[in-house]
Amino acid sequence: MTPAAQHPSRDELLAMAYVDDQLDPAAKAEFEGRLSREEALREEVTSLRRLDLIARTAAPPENIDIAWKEVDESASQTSIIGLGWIATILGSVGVAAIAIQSVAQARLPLWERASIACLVSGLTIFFLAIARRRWRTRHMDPYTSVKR
Amino acid sequence: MKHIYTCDLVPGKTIAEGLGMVRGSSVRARHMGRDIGAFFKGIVGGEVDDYTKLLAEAREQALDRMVEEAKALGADAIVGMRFCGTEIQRGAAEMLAYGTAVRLEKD
Repeated sequence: MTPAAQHPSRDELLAMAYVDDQLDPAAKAEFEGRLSREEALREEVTSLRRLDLIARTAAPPENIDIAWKEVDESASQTSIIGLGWIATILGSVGVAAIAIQSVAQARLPLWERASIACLVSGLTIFFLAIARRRWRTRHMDPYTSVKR
Repeated sequence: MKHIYTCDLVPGKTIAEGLGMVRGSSVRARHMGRDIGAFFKGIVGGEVDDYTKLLAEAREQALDRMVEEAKALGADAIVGMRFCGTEIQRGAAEMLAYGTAVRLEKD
């Protein structure tokens, strides 16, 4: 809902009615046509669906949830996890560098080097394309808010 | 849709028409960082909450897809709803929700 005006706009009302399945077939088809064109409207519908999901799956916290949260948010745990990640990333970069160096130093024919370079580049490009797709659509995925 | 039942009837209502089976499925994975965390949790034991969340995400999405299919048929309720799961790949959860869409007699 727009914070300035505490009254929902017409589009917000329409989105609420759409999520609650209250629109008649003609209005629903028209709204779905707009959804395919207007990103702001898609985000509004996603946000309403996320609220609906939270309401549906909300459960009182269990004791273990509270304990996990305390441990996860403690300075010692975040430091340990952070340190683990830094070491893992540095190690991965190092191992990748060793692999590249080994291939570069190996007395391989040019076509074999080119094949390895093509394979590594191709896999990297595929990964980046898929990561880009996920990155650009993650905010449209209401299910990431489901806890259990 | 408020009426989703695992039993074969809608309590207090009369089924006027069966519209056929409706289903929704979802396969979801978490990112590698969570898989690494889950691997270590598997070593020390206890609940692997990363995968609890993964399964819950897939379950809710499958449920919503099933409901959308029922709504498209003009159903008032779904009866005999079931969940089932299988393993497509390691670290991913597949959930299938299915049931029978029905139209209810008006009060």
